[in-house]
Amino acid sequence: VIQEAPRIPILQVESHLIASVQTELHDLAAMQFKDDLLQRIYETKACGVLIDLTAIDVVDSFIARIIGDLADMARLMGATVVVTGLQPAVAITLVELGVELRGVVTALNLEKGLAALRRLEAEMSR
Amino acid sequence: MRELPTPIIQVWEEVLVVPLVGEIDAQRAAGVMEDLLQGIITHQASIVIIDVTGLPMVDTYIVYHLMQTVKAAGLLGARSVLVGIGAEVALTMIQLGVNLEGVETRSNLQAGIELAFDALDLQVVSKSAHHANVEAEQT
Repeated sequence: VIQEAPRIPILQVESHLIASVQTELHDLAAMQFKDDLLQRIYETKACGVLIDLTAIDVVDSFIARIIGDLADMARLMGATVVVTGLQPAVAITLVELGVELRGVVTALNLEKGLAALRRLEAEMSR
Repeated sequence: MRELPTPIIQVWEEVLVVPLVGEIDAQRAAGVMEDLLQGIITHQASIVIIDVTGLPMVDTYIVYHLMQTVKAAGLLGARSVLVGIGAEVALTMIQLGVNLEGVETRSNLQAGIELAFDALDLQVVSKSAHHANVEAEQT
């Protein structure tokens, strides 16, 4: 039985997209999320994407790679990706897996993430 | 029994200092990493200064763990600075062929704190100079 993966809501605030992942990301849900997000970046021509992972306690190499891929692809489409709220355990796992999230800006929480997005945007428009 | 834990000291808002002193083994290195990451969350830190002045020696293992810690802190959104690398430690690191790429370093703790203030857009001004400035602005 192929179960429909629950969609992760992607909200638009001004020229940014904000996605807060509230459920454990399974492979299917992660793929769906990646497709949705890229589609939304294309539709909205967003210049910044903020992914909040505060609620995620566990990541595996597949999810880690998806996040990395997502950042690379978003950058190709002209958007910066900021990942916020990584838990210590998740950070340790990512480092041990050798996933460095190159090119991804990270921030402690949503507030700092938004500040970072605005700062990057200001730098780019200069 | 656990080694004496490494303190994670908040020296300013958003600035943490981690003094590494004495022998470090695998268990202690892992403990420091966990404590530091937790500290970053609790103190909402954006800058971490790791002071290795008190490290008698380094080996590949310690350096590897240092790098892992710096990367993990980076994933949480904190910028790390390595300070107090002595001549002997620097020499060992070079001889080990350690790649410290992507890790910021400063000579000592003071330089590290200066960098932190700079990053937070802060400045230390002497009181008299500050008063003189205020008076000058008022007139």
